[in-house]
Amino acid sequence: MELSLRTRVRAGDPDAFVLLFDGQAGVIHRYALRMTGDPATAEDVVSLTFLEAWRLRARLRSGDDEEPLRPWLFGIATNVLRNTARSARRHRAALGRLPPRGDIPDFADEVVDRVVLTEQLAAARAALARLRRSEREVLALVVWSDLAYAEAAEALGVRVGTVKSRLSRARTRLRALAEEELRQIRGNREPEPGAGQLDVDRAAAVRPPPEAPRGTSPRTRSRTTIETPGMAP
Amino acid sequence: MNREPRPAASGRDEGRATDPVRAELAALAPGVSVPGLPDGRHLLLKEHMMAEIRRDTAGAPQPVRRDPRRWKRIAVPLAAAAVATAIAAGVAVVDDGAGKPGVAAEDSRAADGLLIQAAASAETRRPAAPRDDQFTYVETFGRSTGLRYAVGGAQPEPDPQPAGKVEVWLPVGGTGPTLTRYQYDPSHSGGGIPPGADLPSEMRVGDAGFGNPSYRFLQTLPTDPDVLLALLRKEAPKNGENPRDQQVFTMIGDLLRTSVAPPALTAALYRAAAKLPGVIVVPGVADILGRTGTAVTMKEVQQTRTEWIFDPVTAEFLGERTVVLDDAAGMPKGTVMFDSAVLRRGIADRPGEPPVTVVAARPGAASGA
Repeated sequence: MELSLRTRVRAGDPDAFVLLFDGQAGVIHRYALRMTGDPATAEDVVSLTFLEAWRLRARLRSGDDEEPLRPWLFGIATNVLRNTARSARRHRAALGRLPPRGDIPDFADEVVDRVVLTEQLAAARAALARLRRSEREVLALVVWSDLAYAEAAEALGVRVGTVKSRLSRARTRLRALAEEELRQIRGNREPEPGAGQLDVDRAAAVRPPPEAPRGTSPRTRSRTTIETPGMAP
Repeated sequence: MNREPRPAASGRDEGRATDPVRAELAALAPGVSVPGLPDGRHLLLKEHMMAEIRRDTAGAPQPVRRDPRRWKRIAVPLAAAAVATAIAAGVAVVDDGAGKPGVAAEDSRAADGLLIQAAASAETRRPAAPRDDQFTYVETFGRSTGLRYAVGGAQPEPDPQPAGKVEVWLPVGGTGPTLTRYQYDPSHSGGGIPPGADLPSEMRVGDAGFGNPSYRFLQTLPTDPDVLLALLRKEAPKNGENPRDQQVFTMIGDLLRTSVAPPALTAALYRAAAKLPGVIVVPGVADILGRTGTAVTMKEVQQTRTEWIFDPVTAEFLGERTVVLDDAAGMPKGTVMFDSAVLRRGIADRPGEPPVTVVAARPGAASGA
C-alpha cells in the first residue's frame, strides 16, 4: 500500500522529507527572501524551516491525505522568521554543520542584476516596514506566495476572517503610504496635520516598526512626534 | 502547531483572480521578482537536512526505517538475524584497522574500568574558575557524512562533508552573546567551499541547559554519579523508540564534546556512564586526527554506535565518532557518520577571541587542523 506523503512525514520517513524539500524549498526560499531581503538569511531560514519540520513532524495534523503540506511548512517558516535567532539557537549544532556559503552564486539566474534586485528588495521592505508584522505575514503569504485564504489561515493558526481583516488593514495602510508618496512627488511640503487624517491605523506610526528603513524621511519623523502615544499594537 | 479548528477547505476560496483586495494589494505592494534557489544550493541544503535527519535518527532519536514496527517484525527475523547475532557475540564484522572506516572489534573487557580511569584523570585538572563575563571556548575538528540523494530521492550514497574546525564561545554566566565559527580545511574541502564563517547568537535568561551548557549551569549539576545519572535519566529527551539509556549516553557524549565543565562534573559524567548497562570497550579506534585510542561505546537501536575515544595512556578524551554497524542503518556498514576531535578547551574574554586560559589542549593537534 502506498502511504501518503503526509503520513510518511508524520512517521519520520527520511525519503518523505526529500520529497518535501524538493517540492517546497523553492517557495519557502522566496517567501523568506522577500521577508528578510537577505539571501544568506533566507537560506538559513530554509534550513531552519526543514529542521523544525523534522523536529515537529509528530505534531503534523493527521487528516485528509490529499491535503497539501504547504500551509504547514509556511506556518513553520513564519515562526522561524518571527524569531530566527531563537530557531538558530535551537539548531545551533546543526547550523554549525552547514557548509558556509562561499563563492557559490547567490542566485540561479545569472541575468539577475544584483544591484537592481537589492534596491527592489530594500524598497519592498520599506513598504513592509509600515505594516504590522501580522499584516506583513498575510501579505507575503496570500499576495506574494499565492496561498489561498484558508491556507494562510492554517499556516498562521488563525481564522480565515482574521486573514481577511489583516489584509484589509494592510491595504488601507499601503494606500495611505501611496498617497503620501504621491504628495511628496507633487512637491507638497506642507506638514501633515497628523496621520489621523489619513485612513490609516495610527498605531503603525506611533512605534516605528522594528525593521524601519534607515534614512526615514523627516516628514515621517515629524508625523511620529505628533501622534498620540499609547496605541501600540 | 495549528490549534484552531481547520478552516473551510481551500481551493474554491474567493476566486483568487477576481478578489479585489488581493488584486489591489498586488498592485500596491508588488512582490519583488526574486530569483530562485540555485540548484547547487538546493542540493547542498537538502543534503545538509538529510545529514541532520540521519544524525538525529542515529545519534539520538528514531529508527531509520520507514516503519519501525515493520522493521522489527520482518527485517530482524529474516536477513539481519545472523549479523545481529554476530555483533552481540562481539565478533568483528569489519576491521579495516585504525584510522579507516570500519567497525572495530569489541573487547570482552567491561567499559567501566576505562571510564573510572578517565574520571580519575579528569579530576587531576584544576578548575578553570571563570568569571561570569567570560566565555567558555571549545575548539573541535570534525566532519559529518551526509547522504547524497538524487533530486527526487533515489538510492542514497554516503557523502562526506568537508572536514572543518569549529570554535564555540558560550557565556559563562549563561546570558549574553554566543559565537560559533567554522573554518573548513581547504585541503579537505570539496565543492569549492571556502573556509570561514561566523554564526553569532544570543543566550537569554532560561536558555542555559543541557542544550546550551554554560559553565554556571554545569556547576549546578550534582557530582554524585548516582544522583547525576538519575537526573540525566529524568532529563533525557524521549525520542522515538530509543532506549532511555541510549539517550543518556548521547547526552553525556554531547556534554563531553561540546562543553567546558568543572573537572568534578566531567569525572561524575564518566562515572555515571560507567553505570549504564550495555557500555562496551573497543580498542584501537582512531580519531579524525589519526590518534589511536581506546573507545567506550554503546550499540544504538539504529544499528550504529557512537564511540568516545580516549587516550590509551592518560585516559583523556580525544574525540568521538559514530559508526554504522550494519547496512540496515541506511548507510553502508563501516561508514563513519560523524567524526570529531577536541583540539582545545579554555576560557576567553570575548567571543571571537582566543582563550586566555587553556584548560585542555591536545599536543600537536591544533596544527593538524
